[in-house]
Amino acid sequence: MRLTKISYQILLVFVAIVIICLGISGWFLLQISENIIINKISDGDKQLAYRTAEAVKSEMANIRSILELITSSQRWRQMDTIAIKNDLNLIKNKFLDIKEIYVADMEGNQIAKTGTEKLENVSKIWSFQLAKGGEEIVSNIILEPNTSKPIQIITLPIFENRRVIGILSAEIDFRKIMYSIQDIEVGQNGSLLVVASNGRVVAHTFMEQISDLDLSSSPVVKAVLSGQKGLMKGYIDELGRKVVGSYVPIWELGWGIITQRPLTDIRAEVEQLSNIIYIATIISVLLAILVGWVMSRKISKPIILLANASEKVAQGDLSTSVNIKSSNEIGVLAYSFNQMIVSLRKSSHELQQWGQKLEEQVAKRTKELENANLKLQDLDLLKSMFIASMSHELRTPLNSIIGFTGIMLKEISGEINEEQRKQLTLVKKSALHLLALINDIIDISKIEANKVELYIKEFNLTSLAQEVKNSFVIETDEKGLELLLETPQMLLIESDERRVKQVLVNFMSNAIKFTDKGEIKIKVSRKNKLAQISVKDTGIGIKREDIDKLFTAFSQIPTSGKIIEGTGLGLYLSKKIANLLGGDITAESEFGKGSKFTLTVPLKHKEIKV
Amino acid sequence: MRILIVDDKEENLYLLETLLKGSSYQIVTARDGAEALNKLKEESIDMIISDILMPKVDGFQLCRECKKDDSLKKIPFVFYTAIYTDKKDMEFALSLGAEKFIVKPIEPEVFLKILEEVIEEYKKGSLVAPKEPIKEEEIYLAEYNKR
Repeated sequence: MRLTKISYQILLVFVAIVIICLGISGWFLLQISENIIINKISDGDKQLAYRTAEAVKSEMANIRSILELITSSQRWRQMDTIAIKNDLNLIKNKFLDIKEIYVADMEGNQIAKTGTEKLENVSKIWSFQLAKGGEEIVSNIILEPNTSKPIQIITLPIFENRRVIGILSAEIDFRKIMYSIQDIEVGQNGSLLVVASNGRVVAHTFMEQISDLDLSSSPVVKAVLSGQKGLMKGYIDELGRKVVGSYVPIWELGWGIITQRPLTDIRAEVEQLSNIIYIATIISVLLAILVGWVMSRKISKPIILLANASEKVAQGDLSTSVNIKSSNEIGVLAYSFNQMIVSLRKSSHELQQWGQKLEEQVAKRTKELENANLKLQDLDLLKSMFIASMSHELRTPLNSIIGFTGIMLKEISGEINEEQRKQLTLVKKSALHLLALINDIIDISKIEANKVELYIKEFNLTSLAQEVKNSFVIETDEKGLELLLETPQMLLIESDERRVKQVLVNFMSNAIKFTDKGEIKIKVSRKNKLAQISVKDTGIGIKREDIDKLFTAFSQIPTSGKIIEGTGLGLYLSKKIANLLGGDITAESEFGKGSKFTLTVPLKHKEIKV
Repeated sequence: MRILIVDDKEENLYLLETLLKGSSYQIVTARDGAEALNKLKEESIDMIISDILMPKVDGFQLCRECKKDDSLKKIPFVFYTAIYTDKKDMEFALSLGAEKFIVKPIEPEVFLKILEEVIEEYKKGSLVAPKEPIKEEEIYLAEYNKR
């Protein structure tokens, strides 16, 4: 397993969190401070605009009040031409802003005038017409055609007992105001401008020739001329710069004052701040990495210790322990881990002990079993030997019984009567039966001990069947049974002839035993690679449920009212012999009608198994 | 016709004696192989019928001694045994040169019939030499020990 170091993960997460937090807060801080700076700057600018507006207003009001004051004097009411002319020159000399002044009577004839030009009739001028009606006319700012000076013409009615008796018209030079405005500094690159009610610029910080500058379509001018004051961000000014503007209206004149400061200036200030924030962020991140690294080491160290220890434990090393002294959850974990190892050690030790004990017991039991097995083998050998030797020993007395009965029946030792012959015949028959039993037992014990040797050679099954049939002719004749044989001309097979014969003889003895009338038929046939020899009788038959019992040792099926003598070993032995030959025995029967037993053996021994 | 019967059991000797005398054979008896060899030196014998399991010299040894002896090997030798009844025993017995191997018990009639056959062949001279050559000593002993 590849280990991803937990300290790196912790560090990564920690630093990521710090960077994200700092980034977000820095961004907000920048935004907020930019706004604050803009507001602060524009607050100052607005103050400037106010002050400028006040200055312009007071200047204008000043001029107006002087003019009004003059027109209301006694000399003017009597239209004293000389006095008026003196006054006009006085005003012109005293107030630099006021240029040409003239006074006209109701017919429009100038009666007094500054300068040297001769008097004219001004009745055609529209301001005269309006002023004659008692109105005060303030013209737009215009550029004087010859000098290109920005000028404004104020036309006032002259009253005598509320009756207009003449007009005064003064030409006001705006250069003075303009010059004073040009001296006002708005930051480094900022500008201040004064716009008249028609949208024309009266004064501008950077521009001297401005009276033909029409800004009536500028949004900030529109705003200020509609009488609002405020702040406008991010518009393009008349110099093509993106600016922040503060504007203040001059109600009395219908004019407006606008201060404009390029955003780049503000940005420069904000940039300073943002640089500070960037540096602070970088320092913070570096600090965070350092702190995070130390912290992650501190956090991960016990975990790594635990991990290493548990890996060791997993590999089977129970001698490890974790040395973490901490009161937090990891401390608890380490404590529990150590406890766990202690109990693991204990259990492992116990397990080992148990294993050892178990092994000892198994060894002991195995030894016992081996001994028992050896004993059993000995016993089995003893049993086989016992059966074999006993069977052989039984032959010796049987030899005497059979021999002497035979001698007596042959009347070698003297004549015997019929009764004695009958009895001796019974003795002989019983002795022969006993002999058959002994031979069967010897056979079975040999087969069960795998000590049988087969004598395989080729022989003619048809002749064997013929031979067996002939040996039973006398018996079947005695019982009045018909004995039939159905065979092919010749059937050569490779097997143990003596054993095949033994089985067939067994079939025949059984058939004769259980058949009282009818026939017994021996049939030899060939089926593919198998040879079959069967014996079919018309005897008492076997019940279906009893057929399986046929081939078990010592089981004679109860036959109704008829006790049949036999070893009870015949079919059991025959089946064993058939299997030994690679074949089998099958039984078919119909109760009360007869039975058929078939031995099947391969044509070639061991080539196929049935 | 003088037949030497060799058996360590009295009743077996008696049975054969009765049976063979009843068939008008002359009988000479011996209770073991050693005694039989002595009898063979003393008397003229036409046939030997011998048990196998006997004290001193047993049937196998007796048969071997007879078939090794030029003056005795022409005498038909019949084994008559209850203990050594396997096919292997029979094969071993015949390999020693015995003419017949009869397993006890057997019905007297059958027994007599077999004897008559052996005598017939003997008379015809077909039993002049042992059917199989006498085996070498070591092979004999090795097989003998298995019996």
